[in-house]
Amino acid sequence: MTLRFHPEDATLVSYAAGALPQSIALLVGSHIEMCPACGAEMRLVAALSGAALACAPVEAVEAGAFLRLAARLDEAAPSSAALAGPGTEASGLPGPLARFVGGGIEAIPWREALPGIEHCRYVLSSARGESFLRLLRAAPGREIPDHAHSGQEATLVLRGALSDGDRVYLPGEFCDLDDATVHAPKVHGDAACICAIAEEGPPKFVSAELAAYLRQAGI
Amino acid sequence: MNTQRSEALGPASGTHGRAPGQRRWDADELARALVRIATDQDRAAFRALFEALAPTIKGLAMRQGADASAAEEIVQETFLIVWRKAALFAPTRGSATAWVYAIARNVRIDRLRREPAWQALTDEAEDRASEETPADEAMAARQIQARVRDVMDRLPPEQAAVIRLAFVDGMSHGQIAEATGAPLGTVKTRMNLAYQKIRAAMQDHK
Repeated sequence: MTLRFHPEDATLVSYAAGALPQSIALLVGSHIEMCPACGAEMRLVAALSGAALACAPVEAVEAGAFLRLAARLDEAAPSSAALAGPGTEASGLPGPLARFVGGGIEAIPWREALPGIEHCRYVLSSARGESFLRLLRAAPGREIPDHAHSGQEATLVLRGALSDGDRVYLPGEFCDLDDATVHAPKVHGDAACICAIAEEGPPKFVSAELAAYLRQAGI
Repeated sequence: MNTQRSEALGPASGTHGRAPGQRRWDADELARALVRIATDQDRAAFRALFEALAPTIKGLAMRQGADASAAEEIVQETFLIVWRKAALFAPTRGSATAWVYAIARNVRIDRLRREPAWQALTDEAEDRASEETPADEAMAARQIQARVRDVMDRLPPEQAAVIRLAFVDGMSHGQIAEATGAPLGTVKTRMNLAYQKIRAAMQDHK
């Protein structure tokens, strides 16, 4: 199946630059694994990096750095099997997400957030700040209440279908939003929907009561 | 782009751009060096590549928050991977520089973010992309680079700035918005426009 919804160009460019928030990068990598079109696009994006770095700062390496390196060239390389970890087929998750959660969909410690909506939330911290990843499993007909975001937000559908505005996202399809969007995505069709949502900052719910409830419940 | 920084022991510390006395590396020379590393385990070619690219890799790592010794380690790890994976580089497809920088980026992210899942992923995606590229769709590395460089040089300043802040400073869209005072949507739009111009120039060529 050809996927219809992809990361924006700007998101692919920042992915190539290594500049996306960590959680969003995980979803972009997962989408690319499932989407040959974006895999091809990444080859064009890569051509940018050499040119973009033409005026990058340079810093002389230490004297002897090359000799130190040369002495290590015969070290055994780690096997690629060890690096690969669990993959898509066994786990029901794309490789990057499977490696991140350490297993498949069944390994995720789901807990109820709202009636009919289970989730599991991860905070990814790095030298340059935090980002958030939330896996969501929602029963047919459920809707995530109106909310906006305090930065970039990306959603990747893994199972079932999710409608948002006039679009219906199917597994592998990517919803790329910025902080100006208020939305209330809803499970589409008769099956439960599992999706991964990555955020640069925490969600801002439109209803103050709901926000207070979620805060109190530690969600 | 056919000016690469070199001179591992040169006076380039802390400067921007090419320091006086640095040798200019031709893109094709670097691509040929990578091929010789892959086919002959050629250490002289490996050294040439190291001297051409290591100072930029160290400079970027430090610009993005690594201290000098961590940056040295990033350089070492990057070139160990280059040595082992040189056979995966497809010279008909793209620039040796971009290929090496992509490896350096993964190493940098892996170390700064302590996130092995993401390191393994991009590696695989790029290896696969490289292997699958049909040769008849490929353009010469030098032509791609010259075109991309040409378009980059003519971008409006606000579009050039978002590209630079992402690649050189490693800033996310949100961080660029904060630093420049532009709304997030505007940051994305500028980056989309810049990339679309570059893509159009590459596709014109086909």
